[in-house]
Amino acid sequence: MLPGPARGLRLAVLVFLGYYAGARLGFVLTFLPLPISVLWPPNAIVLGALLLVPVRAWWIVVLAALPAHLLSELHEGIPVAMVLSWYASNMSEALIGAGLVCAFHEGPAALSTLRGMVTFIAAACLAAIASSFLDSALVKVNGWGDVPYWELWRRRVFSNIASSLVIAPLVVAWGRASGPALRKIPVPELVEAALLAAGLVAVVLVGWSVDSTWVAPCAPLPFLLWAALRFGTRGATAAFAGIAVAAIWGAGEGFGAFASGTPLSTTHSVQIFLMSMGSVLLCLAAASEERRGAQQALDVLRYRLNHASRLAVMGEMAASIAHEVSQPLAAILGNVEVAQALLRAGRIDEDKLRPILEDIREDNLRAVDIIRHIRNLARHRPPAIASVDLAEQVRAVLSLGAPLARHRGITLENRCEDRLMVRGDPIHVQQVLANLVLNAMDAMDAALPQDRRLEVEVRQDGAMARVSVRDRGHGIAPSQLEDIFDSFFTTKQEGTGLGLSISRSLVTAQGGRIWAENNPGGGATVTFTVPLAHAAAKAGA
Amino acid sequence: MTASRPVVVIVDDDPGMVRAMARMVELAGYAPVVFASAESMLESAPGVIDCVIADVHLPGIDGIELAGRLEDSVPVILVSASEEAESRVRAMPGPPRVFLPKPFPAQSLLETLSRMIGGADGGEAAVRRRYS
Repeated sequence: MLPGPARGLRLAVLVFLGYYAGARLGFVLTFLPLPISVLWPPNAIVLGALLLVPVRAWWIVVLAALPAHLLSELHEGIPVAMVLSWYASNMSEALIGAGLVCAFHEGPAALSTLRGMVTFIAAACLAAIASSFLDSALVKVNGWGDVPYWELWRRRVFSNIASSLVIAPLVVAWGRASGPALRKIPVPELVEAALLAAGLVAVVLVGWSVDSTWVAPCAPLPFLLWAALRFGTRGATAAFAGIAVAAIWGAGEGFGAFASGTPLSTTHSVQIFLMSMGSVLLCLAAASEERRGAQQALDVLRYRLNHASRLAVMGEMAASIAHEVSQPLAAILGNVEVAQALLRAGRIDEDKLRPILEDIREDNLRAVDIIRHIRNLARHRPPAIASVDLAEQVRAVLSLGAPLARHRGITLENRCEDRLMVRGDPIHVQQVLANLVLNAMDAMDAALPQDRRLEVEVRQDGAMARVSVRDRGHGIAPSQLEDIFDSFFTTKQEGTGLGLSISRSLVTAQGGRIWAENNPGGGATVTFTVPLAHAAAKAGA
Repeated sequence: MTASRPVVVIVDDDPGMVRAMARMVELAGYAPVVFASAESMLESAPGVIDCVIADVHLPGIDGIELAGRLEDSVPVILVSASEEAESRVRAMPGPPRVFLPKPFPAQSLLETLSRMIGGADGGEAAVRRRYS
């Protein structure tokens, strides 16, 4: 399917404007009297555009470049045959480059991976080399200028490889970023980008005034690395394009890192600098972006796993939760029926009705509260750090787990210090607690009835709150005290081995830690810490 | 007269549920006596008990154990909001106990009570049972 007419027209206009502006810039970046520009952006712009759009829309890009090409070159007084020949060689370069990249990777995403970027660099080099044979031959056929064939070929290869490395990735990196995504860049990142830009300007103005053959070309390196590692391909390509324009413009004006020597040697110095620096920088930026992408994918996976684990905990407590909801519903039903019976019997009076209605209200609120807790636990939502009343979280988890505990003959003991406010995600705190409580119950499956006691203790410990879940079960083998927090480690028949591992990641993410120890009198205690909301959290306690 | 009303002991740790059941029982003409735990009931049970309604899941001594400690002649209705409780009740040794899953309509409870101890007027089948 072709892109819609509006999108196709927009693409054509952008390519036309980009190509024309690139050609004008190319003329500016030419060291006269040399016939070939240091950097010839139009081909690279077309290459970038081809990589941005699906193959079925390539014809729009190629056609849109034609009027821009004619407009820019005929204006310079070049014969029509030569202008059309250059159009053919320019398009052949872009098509070969984009075709090679697309043969191995999928469009713009290619430049986000190291492998894709290496493919792109190789494709850009091969395309420049191959198309330069055609280009030089056409120049000779048209009898344009007197530069020998191989010299022409060599100059064009250098110029076009440098152009492809500077311009095409810039077009791809910025072209694929959606408008809303760019508008959503956080302020600290914008400030950092501004500092980076200021650093690059300072390097150009100060670093390049140093009279040294190696200090000046190396001076921007730290800033380019900064751009690549912190801002990926978008940052690296923008910074590198800025440095490229400054280097060429400076060389033309007799200022900067490459200003000495003849126009030809200066051109070669700048091009070799751009090619070598560009290759390294682009690979580094792609590797950094790939790592960041992998990290993001891992974060999403971890988030989903957390949610799945929470649902698993709820699944284990399902019977208990159903019991907790049924209790107030049963009381409401009983009270309503009593009120109806009183009405039928004509024995209703305000004194009898008021406590019945009050009980119905209270039980209703209790059911709503339980449902709210369950909904919160089940909800898919990003972590939200807030000031959390720890005792409330403990009460919520123990109340959901109470029927299960009773069924297993386990007495739950809540030894919570009140008014202990911590900084964390309330749902994550409940998830960790529920995990520990369920584990502690499981550990007491074989315990004697009188030993079936589960104690949750919360107390302040310096700037942290300590939450301990103590059981009187079979304890933990000393060699496994650390292992139990590893992923997929389980001693249960039907355990996934993820509960404690996820608990540890949740606790660590909130700035706390978690550990297990055996009790002197039998059983085990798992303790985790959460930072207090503020030092004066216990004010009044 | 109050003295002639059959005594129905209700044991449930859920205060809202206890009050609702007490109202149902009282409305039907029985005399409810409520306890929040089996231990407190065993400690200060009324001298005469006509029926015991107990939640299966009680803290400490649960409803099933409580039923086991009562004389076989004392009718016991066990209630619970959890499904697995019914199979535990069915598996109990001794005389068959009635199980009512929560939430239950008042009519179910009152019909069961009436069937077990007779009408609230202390009529035909009402037999006063003593807990010792």
